[in-house]
Amino acid sequence: MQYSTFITASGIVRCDIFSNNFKTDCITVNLFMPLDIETASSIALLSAVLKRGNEKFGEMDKIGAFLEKNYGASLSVSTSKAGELQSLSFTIRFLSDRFAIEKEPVAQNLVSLLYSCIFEPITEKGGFKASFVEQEKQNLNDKIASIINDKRVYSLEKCKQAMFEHERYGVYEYGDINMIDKITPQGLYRFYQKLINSAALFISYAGFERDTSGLLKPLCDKFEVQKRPLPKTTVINEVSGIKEVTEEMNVAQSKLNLGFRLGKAAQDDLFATKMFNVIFGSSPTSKLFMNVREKLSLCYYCSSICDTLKNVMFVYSGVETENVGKAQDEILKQLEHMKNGEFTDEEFDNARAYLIDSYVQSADSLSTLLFMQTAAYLAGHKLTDIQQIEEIKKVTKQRVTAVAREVALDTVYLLKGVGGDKNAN
Amino acid sequence: MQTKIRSIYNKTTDETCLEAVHSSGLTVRIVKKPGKSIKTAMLATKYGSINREFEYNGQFITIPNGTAHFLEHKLFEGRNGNAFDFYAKTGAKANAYTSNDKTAYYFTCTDKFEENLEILLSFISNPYLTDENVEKEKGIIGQEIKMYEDEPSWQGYFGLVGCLYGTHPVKYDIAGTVQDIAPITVDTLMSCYNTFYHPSNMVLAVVGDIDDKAVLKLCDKYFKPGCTLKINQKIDLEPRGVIKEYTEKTMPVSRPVFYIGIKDNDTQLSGTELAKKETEIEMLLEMLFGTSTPFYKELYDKGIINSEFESDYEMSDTFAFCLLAGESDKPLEVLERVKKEIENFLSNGVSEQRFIQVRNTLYGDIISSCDNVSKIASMLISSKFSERKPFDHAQILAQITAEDITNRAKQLFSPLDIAVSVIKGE
Repeated sequence: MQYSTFITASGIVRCDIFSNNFKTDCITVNLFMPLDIETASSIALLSAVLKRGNEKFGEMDKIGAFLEKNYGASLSVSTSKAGELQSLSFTIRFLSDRFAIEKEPVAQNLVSLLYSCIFEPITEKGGFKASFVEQEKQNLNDKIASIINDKRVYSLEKCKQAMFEHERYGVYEYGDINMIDKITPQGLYRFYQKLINSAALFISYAGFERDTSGLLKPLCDKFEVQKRPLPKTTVINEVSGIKEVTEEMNVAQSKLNLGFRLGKAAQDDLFATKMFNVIFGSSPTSKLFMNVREKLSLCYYCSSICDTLKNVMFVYSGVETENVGKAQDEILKQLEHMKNGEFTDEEFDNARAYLIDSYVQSADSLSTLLFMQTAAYLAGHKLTDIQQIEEIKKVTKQRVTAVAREVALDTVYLLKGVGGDKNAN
Repeated sequence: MQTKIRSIYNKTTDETCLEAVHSSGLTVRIVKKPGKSIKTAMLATKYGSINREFEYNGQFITIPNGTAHFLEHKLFEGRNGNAFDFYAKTGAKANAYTSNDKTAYYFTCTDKFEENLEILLSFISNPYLTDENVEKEKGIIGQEIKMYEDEPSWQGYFGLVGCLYGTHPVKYDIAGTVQDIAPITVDTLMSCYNTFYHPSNMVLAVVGDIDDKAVLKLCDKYFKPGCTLKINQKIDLEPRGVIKEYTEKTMPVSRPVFYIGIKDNDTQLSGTELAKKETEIEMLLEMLFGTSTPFYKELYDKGIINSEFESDYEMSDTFAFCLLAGESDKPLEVLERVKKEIENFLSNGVSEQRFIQVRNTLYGDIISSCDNVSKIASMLISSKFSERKPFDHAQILAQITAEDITNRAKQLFSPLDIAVSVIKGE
C-alpha cells in the first residue's frame, strides 16, 4: 500500500492510495461547504438532481445502461455532515481495467461519466431541468419525513436538534422541509455554480497503481483556481444545565439518547478521545455493553459514538419503558468510573488492540480507505493510518482519564413507548 | 491423522481454494491471500430458523420458533466469560448471525489469527449453558425482538412472507416472539446443538494470509474424529399459490412502505442447477426492474417510487421468492405496473443487447466481490451448503443464454403467485 497526499497546481487537495490487492478501483470527489439551514436542503437536492442525468450520457436509464455495460460500475452522488460541514460527494467504483473481457478502458469511461455528472448537468432556461427539480424536491420532502421510520435514527436526530438548538450542528444533513419549497431550478443552478467554484475540494483515488494525474487531469483542470478554505466547526465545551426532552410515541420499545460535550481535554487530544470512546461505549467489550446489556440485561444495544470535529458524544440505547431510569443511571455510573480512572489495564489494552485492529482492517476496503483519508483531511492532520496507530500506542491511562473528567451531560432525549404491549397480538 | 487437502483453481476470478474434509466430518475451505493484512474465519452450520422438526434420541421433536437464534446468542458464552472478552485481548472483531437456513459465527482480524481461530472453535465446540444464563438471555433477546417490532422494514417483510407461505416455516420470524422463546430451556438448546452442530453439518471458511496446516491442526484439537451424522428432519413443503394477496399494518411511518413478493414454486433443485436458477432470476429481476429499465424510469419520473426501490431474490433449497420493496403512496399501482411488466416480458422476451449488458453487470459483481474477505468466506460456505465448487459463479453465468432467461420467466411467472404487504402511516 502506498499513500500520497499532495496539492495540485490549481490548489486541489489530492490523495492517491495504490494497492495491488484489489480488483476494483474507486474515485471520490468531495466538496465541502459550511453546514447551514439556508443551504443544507439545496446541497441535498443537488445530490439528487445531478444524478438524474447529464448532457453527454443522458438520463438515469441511459446512465444505468452505461454502468451495466461497464461491468456493473457504480456512480453515487451523496451528501453527509461532518462537524459543521456538509459534503457533496461523487463516487465511482469500477472493475479494474485488467479484468475487462474485451479490454475496454473502464477507468477512462467512468471518469468521463464522473466529469459529465459534475460539470455538464441538463439545463433549461438558465436553470436545472424543472421537472427534475420538482420531482427531487418531492423526494427530498419524503426523505426528510421518512426519518421517523427508523426510531433509532429518528430519536438520535431529535436529541441533536434539542442539544444544538442554537448551533449549526443541529441542522439535519438533508435540511429542512420549509426551505425546500423556496428552491427554484434557477436558484439551485446559481447555488450549484457557486458551490463548484468555491467549495473546499478533496479528490481521492484508491486502487491499482496507475498514472492518476493523466486520468484525472481533465477533471481537476476544470475546477477554477480559487482559494478554497475548509469551513470551520465551532466547538462549545461549556454546559449550562441539563436539557431534558421526552416525546411519546406508539412504539414497543423506548429509545434513550444522551448527548454530551466532550470538553477541552478531548479537543486537544484526539487519540486519547478515541481510546476513551472505545473503553466507555463503542466496542462489544466496552463498559456500556458489558454492564448495561450483559450484566443487567436491560437492552439489546447501548453504545456511544463521538464526533471529534464537533467534540461531542452521544449514547443511544433501546430499552423497555419501565427500565429507562435504571439504564440512564447505569450509563452515568459507568461514566463516573471512567472519570475516576476506574478501568483496568486489561480494559485499556483491549481498547488499544481494538482500535489498532480497526485501522489495519481499513486497508481491506477501498471505500473505508478513502473515508479514513477524508477524515484525516477534515481533522487537519496528515497522518497515514500507520502514523495514527503510533499515536494510539502513545496514549496513556492518565490521558484517557483527563479526557473523561471533562465529559459533561448536556441533553437527555427520550422517545417514550406508549400504547401497550404489542406482543399480545 | 493427516487430512488431505485438495486445491481448486478458478480461472475467471484468479482465485484458488484449498478444500479438506476433516476426520470429524467438518469441511474446511481456505483461500490464501498473500500480502493482505485482514484475515477472517467463519464457522457455520446448516441450521436456521426453518429447521424446527427433527429426530432426537429416537423421536421427532418440534422446537419453539426462535431457538436457532437463541442458541446463536448463547454459544459465544463460556465458563470463563464470553467470546467478546477473549477477542477484546486480540483486537479481533467478532459477530454472529442466524438466517432462515444457517447460523454463522465469524471474526475478522489483522493479528494473532491462530489465537482468534482457537477462540472461535473452542466456544462453538464447548457450549456453556446454565438455567441462569439462559433466563438472562431472554431479557436481551426480548429487547431485540421489541426493536424489530418497531422496524417497518422487518414488519413489512414478515407480513409479506406470511402472505406467501402457509406451511413452510420461513413464515416465522427468525428471532421468534417473546412468547415463543419463553419456554426455551437448556435441554431445548442442547437437542439442537447435538443435532445440527455436528461437524458433518458444518463448514469452516478461512480467508487471508494464513497457514493452512495450522488451521487443520486446530481442527484436530477441537473436533474429534467421527462419522457423518444423518439428520432426519421435516420441513413442510409449501403448496403452490399464495395465502393472501394483500396485508397491511399501521405503524408510525411517513410514507407507506411496500413489499411485493413473487413466489417461486420450483424448489426441487439442488447444486449447480439451483445456483443457475438463482443467477437467472437475478438477471431477470435486473432486466425487468433494475434502475436502467423503462419500468424504473417511468415510476421514478412520476414520483410513484423513489431511490429506495430495490429488487432481490430470497432463496434456500426448500423455499424461494422474488422481492420488490420500496416506499410509495400508491403501492397498488406499483403492483399493477409490476404485473404489466411481467406480461410484456412474457410476450416479448429479451434482446441480445440487454442480455449482454446485464451479464456484464453480474460478471463485474462476481469479480469485485473477491476484494472482500468476508464476502469470500460467506460464498465459500453457501456454495458448500448447496454442494458446489467455490467460485463457480462466473462459470455458471457464462453458461446462461438469453433463451434460458425467457424460459425461466415462463416457469417463474405462470401462474403468477404474487402478494403485497404494506406498512401504512398512522
